Amino acid sequence: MKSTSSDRKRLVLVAVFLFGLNVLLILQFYKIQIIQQEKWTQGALAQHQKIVVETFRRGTIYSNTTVKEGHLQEEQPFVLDVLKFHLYIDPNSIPTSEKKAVCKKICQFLNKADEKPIYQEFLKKSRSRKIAVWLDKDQKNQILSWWRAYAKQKKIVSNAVYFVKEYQRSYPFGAMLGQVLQTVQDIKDPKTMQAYPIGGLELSLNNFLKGKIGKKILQRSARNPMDSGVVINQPEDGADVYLTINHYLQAIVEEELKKGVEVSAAKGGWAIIMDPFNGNILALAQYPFFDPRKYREYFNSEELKEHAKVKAVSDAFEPASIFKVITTAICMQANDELIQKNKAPLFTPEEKVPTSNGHFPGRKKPLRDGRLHKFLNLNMALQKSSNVYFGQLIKRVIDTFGENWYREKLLQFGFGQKTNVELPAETLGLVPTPGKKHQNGTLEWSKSTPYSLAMGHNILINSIQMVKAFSVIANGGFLVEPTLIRKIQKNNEVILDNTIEKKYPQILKKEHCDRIIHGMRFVTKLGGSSPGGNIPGYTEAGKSGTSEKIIDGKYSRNHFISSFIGLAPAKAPRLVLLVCLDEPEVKWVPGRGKNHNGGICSAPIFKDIAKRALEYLGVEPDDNQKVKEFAYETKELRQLHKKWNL
Amino acid sequence: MQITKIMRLSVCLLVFTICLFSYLYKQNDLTRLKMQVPKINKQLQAINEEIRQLQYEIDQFENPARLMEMACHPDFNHLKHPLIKDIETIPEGVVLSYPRNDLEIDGPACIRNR
Repeated sequence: MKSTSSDRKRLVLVAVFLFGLNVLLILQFYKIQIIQQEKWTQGALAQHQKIVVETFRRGTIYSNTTVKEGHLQEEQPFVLDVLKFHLYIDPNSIPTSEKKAVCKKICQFLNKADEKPIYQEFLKKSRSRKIAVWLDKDQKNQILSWWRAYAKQKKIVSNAVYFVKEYQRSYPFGAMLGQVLQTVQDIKDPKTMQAYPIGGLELSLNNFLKGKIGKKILQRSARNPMDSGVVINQPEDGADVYLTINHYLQAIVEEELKKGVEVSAAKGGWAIIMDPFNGNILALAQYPFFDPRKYREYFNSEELKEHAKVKAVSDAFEPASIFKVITTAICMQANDELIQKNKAPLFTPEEKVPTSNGHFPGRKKPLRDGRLHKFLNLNMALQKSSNVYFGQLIKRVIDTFGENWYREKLLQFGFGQKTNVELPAETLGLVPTPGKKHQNGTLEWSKSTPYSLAMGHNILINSIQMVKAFSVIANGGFLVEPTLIRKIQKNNEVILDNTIEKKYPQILKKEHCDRIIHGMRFVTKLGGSSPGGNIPGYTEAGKSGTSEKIIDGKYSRNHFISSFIGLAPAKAPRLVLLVCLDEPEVKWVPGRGKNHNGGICSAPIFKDIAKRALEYLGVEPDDNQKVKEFAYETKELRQLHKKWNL
Repeated sequence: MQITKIMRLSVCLLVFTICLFSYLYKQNDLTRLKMQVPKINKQLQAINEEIRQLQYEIDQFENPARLMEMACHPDFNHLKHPLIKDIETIPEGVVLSYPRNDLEIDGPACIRNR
């Protein structure tokens, strides 16, 4: 067969056409491979790879293991993130015939008697259903080892049952320090994986504790388990917080406080131990306790919600007689100012002050003491907790310096201002201001106010403020700043350091502090208001107080806050301790007295806590029981009191 | 003359080849190690998590409330917190400067007595 010219033409046309097609194909390849390279690469990666969030660890909160000298200072966490696992299934990948068997076996592993709710999840048309949360590693491994063999045998894709890891806030010591630590919600922000803090240190230190998520690339394949993949962005863990609170001291305080609240049939109570020389809070306990692991139970109940807050910080109360110590300190400051001006001092601690007349300007009713005393000196007034004696001293202060001077001194001790302790919702309390009115229109400061203030009434304080002011007396006159944080550390780098020695302003002379401590030592001795506060083996100084609570705007005769504040050992204070009981039962205890008096219900708790705390700290006993420390001074004071009050 | 040049060139080439080979060999070693880093890092993370988990369990067991409860038990009643004055703190440098045998036989007391 011979080829004609038309055949040749046709052949050329076909060749040109094929060549054209080829050119188009090459152009298309060029477009896809070169021009649209990025778009198609991303598309392909999206089909084969998945970017998964890599979770971070929220900062750990550690106990203070440096309080005990000569001991190992191992890190001891109060709260830490522990790795847990959530169990997921892919119902679409599990054959219908196998669903029941798989569900049954998983329920066995999870110890769940009721299979129905989980089986409902198996029946849903979904690629991912969460069926169990917060499983530990052992549970995960058990389920996985069974599932891998089962999936292989039944030819089911192995990713049909998988685990997603997440950190859970965990508390090795359970409810210990619950109110201070508080907790975070179980749910997290789905985008940032940040936890939602509920309160306490978790809330106030959230900016330090929170971390940053990382990213991981995962190959989409039934052969690749969820925990495989390459991390492209490392997660950033949160900073670790080292508290001033020691776990062992905290346990002692919690145990003794619980016992004390139960013995006095009180509604609750709180106690604080502080190192008076640096403001470090060594223990802060409150009973009834708050268990962070069961936070839902607390916040779903109006009654239990009350126990979640730190009352020592958020609640203000009238300090009553424990405030007489501050009154004494202010009167001594007044003495100093007068001596500087070459004038006679306001009073001397040994002065015989007449205390039978309780009439003071502006008061309708005279001030009274528990028992009538004709004359008292400072030691006797502190020992007997005399209202009239301190009223007399403050009258001299007002007559000499005026109301504003007195108020300024109260502010100088830190009352009416935040202590800036690292907890949210701190109350300021209230120091009345001359000329200022309450919301109900009455004046905050009337003519009788200074005499009420002298014995701790008409003033509202929080417990941290009181401990801070009392520390001034314990440490030789320095106004320390209470703190709960020793240091904050991130990746071995200290980002906040409170361990560096600070200089605090001195607001009271050391000799005055020593004199007040001397006076307070009679309180727990025979004839004092709080003999139950006498610590066996150690010297102590303290003061009790009992204040009526304000219920429906009126002072209640049946609801009290009973407190005891003290320091120990008296000769070289190692700690300041405040114990407050909320509404102890109003009753007469034979052989002891009124149960609701601070000297009766709170002082024994002070004694028990202080004794155990000092023993734990390795402090050498300084009160020789055989020699009967301070017995001579007590006897002498009793004789003098008898002589003056015949 | 030419033979000498060729010889020299050959030696140079040989040395160059050996150096190149050794460089490539090192590079391969390095790549192999680099490939192991993520794997070892992952293992390390898993071990650290395991340690944290175990520490958490130990801490739960050594809860001070539980220890105090145990301290009340007659078997442990004799145990007391030591006083600070009874604790001898020896600087690490001093301990290390003494022969090991001395420390093992007499304990820290031997250092105090010397």
